This record gives sequence, C-alpha cells and structure tokens, in this order.
Amino acid sequence: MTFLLEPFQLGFMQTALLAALCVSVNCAAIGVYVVLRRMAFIGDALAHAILPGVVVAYLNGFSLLVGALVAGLATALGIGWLTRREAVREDTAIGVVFTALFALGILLMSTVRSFRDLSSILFGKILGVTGEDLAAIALVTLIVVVALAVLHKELELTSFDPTHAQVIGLRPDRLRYLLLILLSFTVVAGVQAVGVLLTSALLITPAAAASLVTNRLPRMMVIAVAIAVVSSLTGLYASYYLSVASGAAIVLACTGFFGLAWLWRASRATGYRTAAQAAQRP
Amino acid sequence: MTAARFPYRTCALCHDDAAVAPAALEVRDARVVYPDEPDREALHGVSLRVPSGRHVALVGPNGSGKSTLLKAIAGILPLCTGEIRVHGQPVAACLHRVAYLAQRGEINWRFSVDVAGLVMTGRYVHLGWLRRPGAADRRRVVEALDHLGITHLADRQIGQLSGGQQQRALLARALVQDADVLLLDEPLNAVDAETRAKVAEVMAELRASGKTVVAATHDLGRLETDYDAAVFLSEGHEVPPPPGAFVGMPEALTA
Repeated sequence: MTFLLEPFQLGFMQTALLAALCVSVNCAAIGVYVVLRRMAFIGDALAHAILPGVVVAYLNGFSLLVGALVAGLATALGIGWLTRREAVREDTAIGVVFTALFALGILLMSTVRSFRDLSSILFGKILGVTGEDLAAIALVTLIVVVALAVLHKELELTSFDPTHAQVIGLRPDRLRYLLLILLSFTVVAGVQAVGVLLTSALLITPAAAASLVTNRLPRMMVIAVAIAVVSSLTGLYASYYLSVASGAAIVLACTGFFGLAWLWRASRATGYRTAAQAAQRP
Repeated sequence: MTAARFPYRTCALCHDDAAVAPAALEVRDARVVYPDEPDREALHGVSLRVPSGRHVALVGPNGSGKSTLLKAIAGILPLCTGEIRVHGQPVAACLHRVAYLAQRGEINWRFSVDVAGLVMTGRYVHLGWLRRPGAADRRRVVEALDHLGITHLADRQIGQLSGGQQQRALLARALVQDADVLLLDEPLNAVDAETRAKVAEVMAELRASGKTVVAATHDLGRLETDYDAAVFLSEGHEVPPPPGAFVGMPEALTA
C-alpha cells in the first residue's frame, strides 16, 4: 500500500496523476473513432503539426497550450479541406503537410539557443505539468467527453453509414470537421503527457486493444479508457521507482495491453477452430 | 408519431397534414451530373409521376440511371435542372416521410455496431439532436426484427451477417422509419430465397397499408406481383418497354 501511495505524497506527482488520468480518458475515448474511422495517420499528423505553433508561442512568450491549440485547429481544418475531394489521396496530402509543419517546428526550434524547454514537447513532461496546464487539460477533456457523449448517435451513424445520415438530414462532412477539431484538442492534451512523437500511440493503442476484445462501440470506449488509465498509472510508477521516461513508460504499458488483447483474441480464434474441427468429425 | 425537438432539418409540412398533395412523387425533367464526372450526365431529363400508394419499378441495366434517380429523390444528389416534389414539397423538405434503402455497398459493414443498433438508426430522423432512443423506439425495432425473421441476429455485429440477412436488416431499418414513400435500390440483389420471400411479404404489406414504393430492380420475374407499373430506363433516359415486357397499368402513373 505504501508502495502505491508513496509517490503521490508529492505535489507534482499529484498534478501529474490528475493530468495523466484526464489525458487517458480523452485520448482513449476519441481514439475509438480514430481507429474505427481509420484516422490513425491523421492523429499522428495532428500531433506532429502542432510543433511550430508551440515553438512560435514559446518564442513570443505566449502560453504553449494556446500555440498548440491554434496550430492543431489550423491543421485539422487544413486536413479536412485538403481531403474533402479525392484530388490528392488523403494519406499523401496529410504526409506532405504534416512533415512540412513538423520540419518548420524543428527549424524554428533550432533558432532557440536552449532546446531543453522544447524537448519536453517532443517527449512529453507529465511530471512537469503545472496547475495551469492541468486546468487546461481538464477543460479540454471535459469538452471532448461531453461532445462525444452528446453527439454519440450522430458520430456513430456518420462513421458507418454516411449515406443514411445524409438522407435523414445530417451533414457527414460537418461531423467529420467536428471530430477533427475535437481530435486537435485531444492531441494538445496528449502532447503534455507523452509528447509529440508518442501522442498517436495514446490515441490508437488502447482503442485498438479494445477493438480486439469487443465489437460494441460504447463498450470499446470504456475498455479503451480503462486500459489507458491503468497504463498511465503504470507509467507514472515506473518513472518514479525506476527513474525512466514517463511518456515512454505509459506508451509501452499500452502496448503491453494491446499484446494481451491480441493473445486473448488469438486464443479464442484457435478455440473456435478446434471446436469447429471437432464438430466436423463424425 | 413523435416529432423531434431538435430535428436535423426542420420540416414545415409536418405541422400541416392537410398539405399532402395527391401525388406522392412528381419528377419533372430531372437532370443529374455527378460532381466528379462533369462531362457525363447520369440522368438526362426523366419525368415520372407516382400517385400515393402505388408501387413503381424502375427497370434497366447497370448505369441506366435507376440508382441516380432514387438518390436524387432521396435528396443526396442535387439536380442540375428539373424538379422533384415529394407530397408536393421540394426534396428533403420532409425527411421522415421518405425512407431510402441504399445498395449494401454504401455501408461500412466492419464497423462496431450490432444489427439492432443498425435498425435503430431508422428512428434517428424522429429523434433529432440530443434525444436518445426510448422504449417506444426500441419496441419498434424489436417488432421489425421479428417481422423480418432476424431477431436471433439482433446482437450480431453487422459484418457477420450473410448478404440476405444484411438486406433484411436494412429493410427493417427502412420500415421503422414509418415513412410514406419508400425508395428501394435493388432490394433483391444477390439475396437468398428466404430473403426474397420476406421482401415479397413486406411489399404486400406496404401495399395494403397504402405506402408508396419506388424500387430499382433487375428482377423482371416479380414485376407483375409486386408492382403496379414499370418504367424502363437506359443510359439516363426513359425508354419504351421492350416487346413483351410487363408495363403494368400505365394509367396507374397518371391516376
């Protein structure tokens, strides 16, 4: 018990814990849509593309979160606009734009004498989250979770049957934009926890693991959130007791759960096959 | 029938039942061009009038414009010129009165939703934003599943169904919408005998309850039993029926 409670006697660890919980809930819940709508690449692109926004904010003394949010929103709308027609293939368009923005971010970073502050953007710095950051992360999480809950049936329907959605008067393209905007909020929060390079893992891995376990969307969200929360805790403990990078530990814990889900699924599949073979034998 | 408190699109007609025009459907010189192929006209001026309660088959080879016409009536393809009126109102003015059964390829069957969930989406037009399906909606879905003989599949992920079962699920969804006009795109395309029988049963009930049906079909064998009249399309034009083909009662289209 002391082993579990000891780290959280420290103020910064409490803040880190709350931030990690918010980020887990946020990323894993929207991550289910990212996985089911095959937007994994977009999630990764958004996380990378906020780098120039953060660097510009840093250089001009704005809040880094605001910089990230502006860059994230601009990228989300840009991706939505670029991919609304099939003039350029979606993955190609995203690949071109997000690498360019990431490169721009790196270029701007290289003009700053000290990389130290900004390296936390690349790799995350959950243990350094301030009270102000935490408030912003909590607000973003609240917005995303409420939007996903309130618009659940519309988001679900436009994800699998945009034609019917359109026939009954919904606008699938607008809901897609909304999802991209929520995703950019999410990514900004995720970057605080695990950094630009690993945020997409937090979006995709828990949701992907959950999709191996169930094929009901609400249940998938609950399982994904549970996996992300437990992984975040594991990561925080690992970083406290083993002095390893917290972001990387969180992501690897998620990957571990994905491995378990994969094994569970594989064992069930073999079970069915054996049962089917047994049934075929006279 | 409950009205949505925050409808996806507001409907003027629903507040005025007396406004129902005698013809369920009027299509006048409809022209459609697909946005990605501006040079190719998909529909070159088709006209059609379907009185309330009639069943009309659109017959023709692939690419003849059957699906395009249905999509235009459903309001998902804009007209270049011409006019379509449903119960005297412009297209999509009264969304819940028109149910559209798309071809199965329009749906992502690998998505994590079960059969009951798919059928429930037919109620969404009555729910609108914010409202969740209630007991009455669930009862409606249960009835429709039972009616089409797919109750045992209610909890199944939609991709685990056979083609015929998927088609029955989509038909169940069209039925729970409680529409007056049903647009069916190839309801019998690649389905099993059991599904054919169910679809025929549903068609007879739709007729008995006075619903208007416009269906695109390849299946010439069922024209006489399921439809009052057939309209033949080819390359986006209405064409005269081939010799010996069922034309039904052409007067059915004017009465």
